[in-house]
Amino acid sequence: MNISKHIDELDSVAEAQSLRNLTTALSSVSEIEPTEDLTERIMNAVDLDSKRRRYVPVTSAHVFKPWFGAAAAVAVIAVVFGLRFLYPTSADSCSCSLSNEQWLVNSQELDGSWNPERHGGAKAYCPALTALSALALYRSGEDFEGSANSACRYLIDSQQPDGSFGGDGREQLYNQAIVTFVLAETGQGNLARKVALQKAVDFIHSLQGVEGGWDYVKNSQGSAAITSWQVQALSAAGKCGVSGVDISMRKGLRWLRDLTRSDGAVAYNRRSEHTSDTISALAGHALITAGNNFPELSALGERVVASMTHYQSGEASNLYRDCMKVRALKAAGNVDSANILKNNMVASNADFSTDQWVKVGGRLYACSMQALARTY
Amino acid sequence: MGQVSIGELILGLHLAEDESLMERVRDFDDRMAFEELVKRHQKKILNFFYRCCVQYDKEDLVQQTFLRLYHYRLKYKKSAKLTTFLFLLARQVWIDELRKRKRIERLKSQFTKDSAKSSKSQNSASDARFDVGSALAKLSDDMRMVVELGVYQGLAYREIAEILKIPEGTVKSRMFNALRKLRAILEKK
Repeated sequence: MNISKHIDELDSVAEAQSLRNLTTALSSVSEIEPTEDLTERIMNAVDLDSKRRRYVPVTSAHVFKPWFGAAAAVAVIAVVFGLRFLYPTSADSCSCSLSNEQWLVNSQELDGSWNPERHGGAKAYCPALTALSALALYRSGEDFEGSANSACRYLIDSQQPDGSFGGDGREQLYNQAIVTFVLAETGQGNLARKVALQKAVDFIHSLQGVEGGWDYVKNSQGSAAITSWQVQALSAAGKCGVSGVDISMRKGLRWLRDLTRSDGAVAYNRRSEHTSDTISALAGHALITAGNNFPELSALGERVVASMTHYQSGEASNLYRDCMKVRALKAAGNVDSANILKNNMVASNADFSTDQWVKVGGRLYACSMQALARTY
Repeated sequence: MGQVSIGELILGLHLAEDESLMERVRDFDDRMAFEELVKRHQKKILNFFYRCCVQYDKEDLVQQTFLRLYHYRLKYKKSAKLTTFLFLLARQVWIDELRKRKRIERLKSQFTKDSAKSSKSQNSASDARFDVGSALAKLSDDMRMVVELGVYQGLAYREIAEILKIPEGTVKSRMFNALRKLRAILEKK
């Protein structure tokens, strides 16, 4: 039943015709148009709301009861104190890991990004650091999902028409791979992210060198660290359903395989003797995860990870290296070593000002690396 | 997971039914899908508030309605038309707004005053809009809501009953009475 059938049902033909004329007259009155930016304002409001995660009553019958809020707060405090009594832990480690995530949420910009410049870093790495912070929060649980989603939306919105995420040279390559990797890791099945991922992957293809590696300058000899990130980005995007990643990824994996020395360490590039735990952690993780369909590559990745040095107290702070090592050790199944290193990172009171990457991301870098390591 | 091209994804977004888009919002927090829903329905909701005699803040109420839809995404079930659900939310926004500001009488009087001022300089199309608008303003909220949903939004009586939480028979009688009253008001002019 609708208005038309209702009128048809009336006994009086004259009455029916009169009401039909009336409904026609009502419907013919022109409607007003929304202002041009209404959609944008609504989406901005959704973004902001998502970030704040503020509760808004859904039904008009909802009434806030102050006593209920106070009782809930008391209960939460009691539970927290009870748990701390039952399971005493290092105050430093607990407060530190918690405050990293909270600090990230609190320092997020309104548009969803993190601005490294505000925290002692370089603005050029904003996309990569925003992505790493988002990944850390995404992996930290539902409480931080809103911030992570907001950051991912910022990253998608900031993508250039050619599929890139900004920066030049070295920054561009890191931004591209890390953002692509994080969008794929945090957005399986999400339509907007798939579109962004397809464009991002196409851009990564365009930067690949003829030998299979990637470097700051196209068609140069390649960099193991940068190539490892691109391979991981392609692998994660492929798992999200993005097409055409296989050939490029295999070429990249082959390039990494050829760089691996007999002792398991991975050289910086084909002409270099220089190796480092950071490069081995990145390459080892790429070989294990992206090469999981090729048993020999996975085995090689585990050998690369095993070649990394064990944690030694007193060594200079390098949170990026340690975070990547934790991730690689976990992927290789070396859980004990990963946990030792992770606990050291989270509990550490080390002076990060000497960390070689602090100039890149400042406190933002330190917090995101610690928060991310904690999730592995 | 199958491989999907960009073309298929974009085409899928525009062709997808409201309910499928809402499921994407629920399952994947898909903002593009939500944006598509906003684009599709913002005008309907805006005019809903307009015909509820809201003369200012209409777009704020539209924003609140979509925010509520977003809050509700995780609880969304594909059991009814999304538009039914959307109008239910819009009505709740409107009721909350009335309660919060306690200004329904002020709105009505301002509407009449503003319209009277502007009608002098407006053309016949605006006059028609004013006539209908002022006639609608003279209906009770219950009656106006039935006319809005049944005549302007073209919803079935079953859907209106669901939104207003009243029996379908009541929708029918309310509609009949509302139309007769409207006719009487317009005939006097």
